[in-house]
Amino acid sequence: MKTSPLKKTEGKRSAEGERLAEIVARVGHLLPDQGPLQVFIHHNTAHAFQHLEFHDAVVEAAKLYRAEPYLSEARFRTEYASGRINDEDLAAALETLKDRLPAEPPRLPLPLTRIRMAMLGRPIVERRGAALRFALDEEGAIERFQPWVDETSRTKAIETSLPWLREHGEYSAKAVKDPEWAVVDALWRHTLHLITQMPVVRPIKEDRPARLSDYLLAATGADADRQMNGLLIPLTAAYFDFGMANWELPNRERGFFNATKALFSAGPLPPVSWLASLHKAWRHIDASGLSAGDIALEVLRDFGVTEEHWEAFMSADLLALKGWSGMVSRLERMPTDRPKGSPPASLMDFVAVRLVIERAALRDIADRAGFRGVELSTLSRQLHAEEQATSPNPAERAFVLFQVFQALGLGLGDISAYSSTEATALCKAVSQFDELWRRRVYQEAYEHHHRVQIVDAVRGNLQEQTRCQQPTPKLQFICCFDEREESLRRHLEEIDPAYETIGAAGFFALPISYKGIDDYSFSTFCPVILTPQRTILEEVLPEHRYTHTKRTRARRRLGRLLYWGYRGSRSLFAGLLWTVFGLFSMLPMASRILIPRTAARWRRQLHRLVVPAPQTKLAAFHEAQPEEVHPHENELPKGFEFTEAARRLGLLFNDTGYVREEQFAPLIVVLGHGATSVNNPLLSAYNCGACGGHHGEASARLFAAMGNHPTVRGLLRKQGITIPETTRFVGGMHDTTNCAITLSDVGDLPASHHSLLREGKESLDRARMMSAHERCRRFLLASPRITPAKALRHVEDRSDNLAEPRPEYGHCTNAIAIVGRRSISRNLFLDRRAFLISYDPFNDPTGEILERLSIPVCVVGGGISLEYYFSCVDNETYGSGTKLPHNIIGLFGVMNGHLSDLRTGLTRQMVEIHEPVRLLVIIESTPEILVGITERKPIVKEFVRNRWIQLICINPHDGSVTQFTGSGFVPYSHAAPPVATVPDSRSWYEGHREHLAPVRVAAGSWPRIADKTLMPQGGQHG
Amino acid sequence: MDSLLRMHIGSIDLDLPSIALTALPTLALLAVILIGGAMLIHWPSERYTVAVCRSIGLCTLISAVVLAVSVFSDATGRNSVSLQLGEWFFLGEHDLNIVFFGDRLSSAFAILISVAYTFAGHFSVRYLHREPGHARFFLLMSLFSLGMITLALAGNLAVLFVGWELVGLTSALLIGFFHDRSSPVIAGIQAFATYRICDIGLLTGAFLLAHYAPKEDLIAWSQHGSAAAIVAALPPEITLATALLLLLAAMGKSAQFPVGGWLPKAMEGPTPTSAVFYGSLSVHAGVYLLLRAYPLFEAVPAARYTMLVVGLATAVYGALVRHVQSDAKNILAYATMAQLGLIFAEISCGFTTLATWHFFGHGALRMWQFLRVPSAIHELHALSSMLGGRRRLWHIWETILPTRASLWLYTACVERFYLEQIIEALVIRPFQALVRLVVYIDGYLYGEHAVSALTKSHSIAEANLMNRAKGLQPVTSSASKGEGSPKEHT
Repeated sequence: MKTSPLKKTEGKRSAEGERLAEIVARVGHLLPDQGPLQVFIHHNTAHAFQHLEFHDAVVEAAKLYRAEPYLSEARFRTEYASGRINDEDLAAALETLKDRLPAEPPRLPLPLTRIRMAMLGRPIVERRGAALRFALDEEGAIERFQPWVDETSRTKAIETSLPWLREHGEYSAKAVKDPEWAVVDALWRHTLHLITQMPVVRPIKEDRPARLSDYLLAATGADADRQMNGLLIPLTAAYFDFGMANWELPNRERGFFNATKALFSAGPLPPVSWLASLHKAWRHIDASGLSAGDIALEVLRDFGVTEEHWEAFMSADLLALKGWSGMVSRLERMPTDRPKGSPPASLMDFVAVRLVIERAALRDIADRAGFRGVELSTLSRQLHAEEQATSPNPAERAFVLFQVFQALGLGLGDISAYSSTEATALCKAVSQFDELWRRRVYQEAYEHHHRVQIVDAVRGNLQEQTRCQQPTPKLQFICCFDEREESLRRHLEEIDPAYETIGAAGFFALPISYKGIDDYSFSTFCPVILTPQRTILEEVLPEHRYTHTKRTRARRRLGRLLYWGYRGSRSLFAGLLWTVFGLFSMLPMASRILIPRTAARWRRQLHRLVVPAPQTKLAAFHEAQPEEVHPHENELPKGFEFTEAARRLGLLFNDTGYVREEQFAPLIVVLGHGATSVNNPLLSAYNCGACGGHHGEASARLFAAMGNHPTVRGLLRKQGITIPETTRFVGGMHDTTNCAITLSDVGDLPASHHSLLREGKESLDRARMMSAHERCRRFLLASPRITPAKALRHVEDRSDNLAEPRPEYGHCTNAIAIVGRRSISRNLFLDRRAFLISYDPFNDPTGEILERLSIPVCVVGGGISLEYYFSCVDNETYGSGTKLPHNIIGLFGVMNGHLSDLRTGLTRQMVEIHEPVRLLVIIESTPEILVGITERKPIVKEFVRNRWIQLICINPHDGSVTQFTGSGFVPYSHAAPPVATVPDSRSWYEGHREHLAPVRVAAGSWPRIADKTLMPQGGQHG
Repeated sequence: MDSLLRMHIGSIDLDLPSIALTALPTLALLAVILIGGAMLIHWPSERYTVAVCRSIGLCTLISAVVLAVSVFSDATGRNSVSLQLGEWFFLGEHDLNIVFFGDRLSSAFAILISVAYTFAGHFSVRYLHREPGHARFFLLMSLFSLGMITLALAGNLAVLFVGWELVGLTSALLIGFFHDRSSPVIAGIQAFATYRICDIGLLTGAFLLAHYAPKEDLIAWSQHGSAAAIVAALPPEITLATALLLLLAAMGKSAQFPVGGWLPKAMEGPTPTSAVFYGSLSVHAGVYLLLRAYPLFEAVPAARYTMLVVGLATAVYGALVRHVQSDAKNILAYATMAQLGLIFAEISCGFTTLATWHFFGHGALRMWQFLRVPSAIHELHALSSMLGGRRRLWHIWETILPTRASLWLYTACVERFYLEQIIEALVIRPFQALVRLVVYIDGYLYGEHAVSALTKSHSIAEANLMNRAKGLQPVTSSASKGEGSPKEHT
């Protein structure tokens, strides 16, 4: 009997512990889901709210993270003023949101749309407190009409008001002299009078208690978070460190909680009172032998957080340090993100350590503020009870209404004529259409403008293209569908109508684990949603083995020297030696700061001299029997078998719709892409996302090697994909930062292809130069009249310049994804804004291929666009703010300055020219197929139904365009003028800095069909 | 050769070194006026600011090189140049002149300063492109270099003090450059407060010297023979006091133990400022002062021993704390601190030549390393790839110390040896209490109205808190047990 209460509490404790563990896991899902810097992959920042409709989700997310849901109203107004949003867009947006906007109050005296349009078009602002007083007293808001009120409204308002003033005996001498003053003054008084008669809506005080540290901060000015972060952040960083610190945190392998416990319970107590009590607490924990979960429960009890508030408290507490908590949570869920041998990650451990430190810090602050002896739970309750919710006062509410009256051009005569019900309805209509609603409408309008522009252009282009006939392809380029390749592809196709570019995911359907000759470990070359199937090694040709040995030896020696320099110069005694001779560092410093491009060239030349480069090939094939394929359970087989290689290649050819002999050119260049820059912690975000944030060269090279193999060709033929005997593939790599293009294994090409290769190289050189030129229009440091050759030098300089916080703009301009034949987007200037995925609807009658493509397009493309959206609308909360004070910590993240929360999301430099619109996905398919796919793929359904992307469907059979609205596909109807034509891209973009509208480019367009009979849409398939 | 360096403008006979010496502070002042003036009239464009900074930087660099060449070569037949630009003020028999002078040490320092200004300026053109506060940054940077040049070329302690203060002020403003967040501002205030307290040393030291050796300026101090004569003429206790006071000033600027806590926190500004100021220039201002005042220390061994202890303590402290840091900027900051400690130790032992080389080499190397701080991932990854894998780190303390002792040492390093908390408890909080006491007495004596608005609102908030605290009954341990126990019985 005696043991039963103990057992009971044990049982209770474990049940409680389980519930807490569940809650912590749930809260972990709300935290930023960004991995270590090396594996930076774009994703939807508000992934925890993906199950909600977009507009609801951004608002909910904004509440939770204390962020902005949309761009500011002021920014939208600037866009309205510049014409980026016009009245037509606003009307369309109001129409789109019709069912969601607050219902029209009964007996409204004016049309609701008129009120709303008036509120949108004018800079109506809510002013509170001192700002309102300033407007009233200093800015003359109650003496003159607002400066934005146009002349007609002003005259109308005065005219309708004067009779009323006379009637009410307010037409004084001053009013005769200055009628505007009299009218505005009376209008303000009348509005105030109206408002005071309206029922006041009291805001509801939130039931959930905030964190005690917030109360203490408000009451005493002492920041408990700062105090505890000063200890928790270095500790967490040292625990997860990937190899930056000289002295690793001891006992890392035992977990965060245990390692911390061991640290704090050793040795004498520190001479600082709060730290001493913290150490004592840890000693107590060590003696009690309780687990992390038990300790977390204990602290929650001490804080007086009852079980129903656990979730709210935990989310508030972890979101107060969301970067670090998110990193722990992410590392726990994705252990492969870390190098081998890293310590275990557990969010529960982190929670327990954080709560214990938090308790000590709060106790210290409470003691110092005079609450000595008062339990934290009591204090928390007391301070919560004292907090009061505030509601706007009548003048604040009246000021908005006052401005609306002015915007509508209403005079006192009109207003006083309203019955009290009408006036109430009017007030209600105004107050319901609050700032949040206005921004929501603006957002829809902003997207509408862009959508209409693009869809009209694509439709117009399609009509043009059907009148043309494709010549036999001479050269083909398979690129990543990345929007940064759009300009390169366009400029290539402008050179010759017989050039064709194909867009596919940059890993070219080859999920591999790759190790180059210089790498010491394998890297994953595939999108995060896939797992690598095979390992591929870069092998040195037998005759170059000696060079390779020399290379390895030279690299080792150089590495040892540099490593000694790196660590030594930062250490005490070796540092003495390094720093005494430190004046020698002036040489590299001067050259790399003053002449970065030349210095980089020198360095590369020197490197080539010291470290020779052997010739290599990829070990693409596994020539053993199929049963030997799996040597070990958890080790991937090396290389592809021929059947698998053919299957993988077949996937890509089928996806892109290239299956018939006449579709293939004699030379096909496969280009992976990547970025090169220095001084840039977020480098992997600029690389190929489809290659797991690496350079895509290996994938392209592997694809070419496999495509050239006769056995693979034979197997492909059996699948119905006939590649002509004469066709050869060449792999290569396009550097999106410095616009360099390198081709690999060109020595393997037969002599018959040499002239074609030469032509291809020349064309690539020209196209990359023009692409660099087009990119330079965005860089304010490049002259708007820069020549193409200088532009190339400019981008090379960016790539090598240590001082450059924006080596390239990355995905900054992304806004569109077009899935369909290249012919529908060919010759269309899309301003590097479109992901272009090659897909042939006629090769896919059932939609099976499109289903496969739907994930990369909607989820990966949509994820990129949404990460940019969130980082752009609230750069400080969702993004990581300006890059300049960033400091790399533990080789996995960045923080601001010497100590701060981990910064997640994109930097301000990465999003500064971004237009936050949801990705506009244009798919060449039928609505039925698309509906079918969303039914089968829940994740795609989530993105489409909840409108995280805008979906447009172009029916390939009849060219009709439909648009997905919340309920389903509706015909897209927008009367548009035919798309404009310019001679070439350069003549359209040169001298412009801003986003440009799409136009049709004449250069490189296909010849018109001679006879006037129009080819049916799918004509080429006969 | 001599005629080449000489220039005749009308009747005024000016030689090239003097022109260079005059040009250095004038150019820096010109940059401040040009950028600051443009900011006053209208917000200057990036182009304008950048053009001013670049051209002035280049001219400064040329002037510094001319000065150094003429000082280092014996072309002019002397190894220092001095120039009196005017009289500042005089008081009885004391008069203070605006004197600049350049010898080998100061002209070399001037080169380092102008190199830093030019490079960091050139770097910032891109780095701060499109950044809000672009002009403010360049203005502060120019002000800073004006301060540094004044400090380096000062002919007497009064002029040096002006430069010293300017450097301190602009450093604090640059640390708090991103003033929309709280931590840069707090870090800036901490640096500023440390500087203020330690500057008492420089000011008092300068007064003492002005009182006991009124006619001697730094030019005399720079000549070994005359310096020894001055020191010999001073009363011994004054020599000791002055030496210790100047050491205090140098400790603050050069982030020595135990007042160096501001240095790692100063990493809040944009990278070029970290590079120029904390890495290579302002932290060496203390070293420069000590090298200048070395004859004083030579005479009093007690001051030298103090310097040695401070230097070694800083070196050990910096090296130990650096071991556990896992972020790029803190590692560099503590490494810098450790080397500065070594330089102090070198000076105290009389190795002034070594200390000078160390000073300049360290300045240049750290400048370069701070500029490359964001590429740490890149560099370490490349190194791992060259070495064929991640280097396994072996740590000496875990090997030689017993487990518990090494655990304790690790914790102490993570908590930075509790230095800041101790200073807070021993210095800051008593000082705050003193202020409160003074305010209270003030209010008591002169009534409530005499209390300024700021302190009033603060004291009211505090009074409210105290009332609230009184209203809450302390919960005894038995009561909490009593609360918990019924639940267990159910």
